[in-house]
Amino acid sequence: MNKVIRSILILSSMTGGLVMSGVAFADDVKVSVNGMVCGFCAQGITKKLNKTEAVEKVNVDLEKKLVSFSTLAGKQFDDAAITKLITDAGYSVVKIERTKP
Amino acid sequence: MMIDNVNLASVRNKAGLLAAAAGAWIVSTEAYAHPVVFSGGTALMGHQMEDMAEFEVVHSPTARTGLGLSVTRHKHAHEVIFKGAGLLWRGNYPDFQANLYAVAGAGRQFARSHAGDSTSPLMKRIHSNPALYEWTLSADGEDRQIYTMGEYSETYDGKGLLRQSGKLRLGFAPYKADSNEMSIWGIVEWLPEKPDTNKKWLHEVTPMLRMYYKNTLIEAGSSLNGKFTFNYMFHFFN
Repeated sequence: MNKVIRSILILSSMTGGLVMSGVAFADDVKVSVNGMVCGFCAQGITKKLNKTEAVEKVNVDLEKKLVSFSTLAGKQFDDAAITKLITDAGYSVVKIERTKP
Repeated sequence: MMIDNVNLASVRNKAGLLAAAAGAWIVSTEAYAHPVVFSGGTALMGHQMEDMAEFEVVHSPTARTGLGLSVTRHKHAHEVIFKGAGLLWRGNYPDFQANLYAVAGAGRQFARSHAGDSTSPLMKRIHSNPALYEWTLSADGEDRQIYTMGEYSETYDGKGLLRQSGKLRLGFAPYKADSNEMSIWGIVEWLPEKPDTNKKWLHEVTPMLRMYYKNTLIEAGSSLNGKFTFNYMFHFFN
């Protein structure tokens, strides 16, 4: 009986682990942006990024002039696409940095 | 002297029509954007004063273009104006942003039936010249603690220049709010206006408080003449 309970617990923790890691991230991206001076600027960029299917966890830091997000594994979102999206929103991209999570 | 006045009115009228035409050209190529509407975004705005109320909706298909509709209630008339504008220049710097906009609009005015003697020259003018044209040049510059804005606008009806108006604003924020914080500003606004019927400039200076959080902004103040002002702006993304 104990074996059965232990097996169930192990299986459920494995399943939970799989569920928890269901979203796989490809890159953590930090974009230095010029022209962001207010919450409306942050809203515009956040909304546009969230509209794409390639990113999650968008954050705008006005103090550091940084837009950060994670790209999803298997979804294409290269530097040119990032630059176009932020330029189309009205702002200027200074630098894009990618790191592996 | 009368001939001079007629010529002047004619020149003004032509200048206004030329400006409207130039504005229309701007609209047809690359038009309107509210200073803070992002591409694909829509803004609902309201401006309420003691003797005037305005509601405006603006949609920006790109970061440099936009289309809008404003409905305004003045003392003697309602005005409905379709607007287009272009972001002529944008400066993005590490801690500073500046913009130059041109706006052009065309619409119609409707006399308010209870707004006084329907045989007065102004009411007759509204009835016989319902078409409206307007153009505006607007510039702003701001960092996270200083805000400046200037605007000049002319409105024409079929008879000629109906109204000139301007706006100058200077604002200061006591602290630098980040994107997830409430932002608070103290602003002083100077509104000079010259209705054609008045022949002299009227001035309104209004200290006001501005607060915004995420996509919602409100401003409230009372002018030095005791006139209450309330503005709001709400952005959303399609």
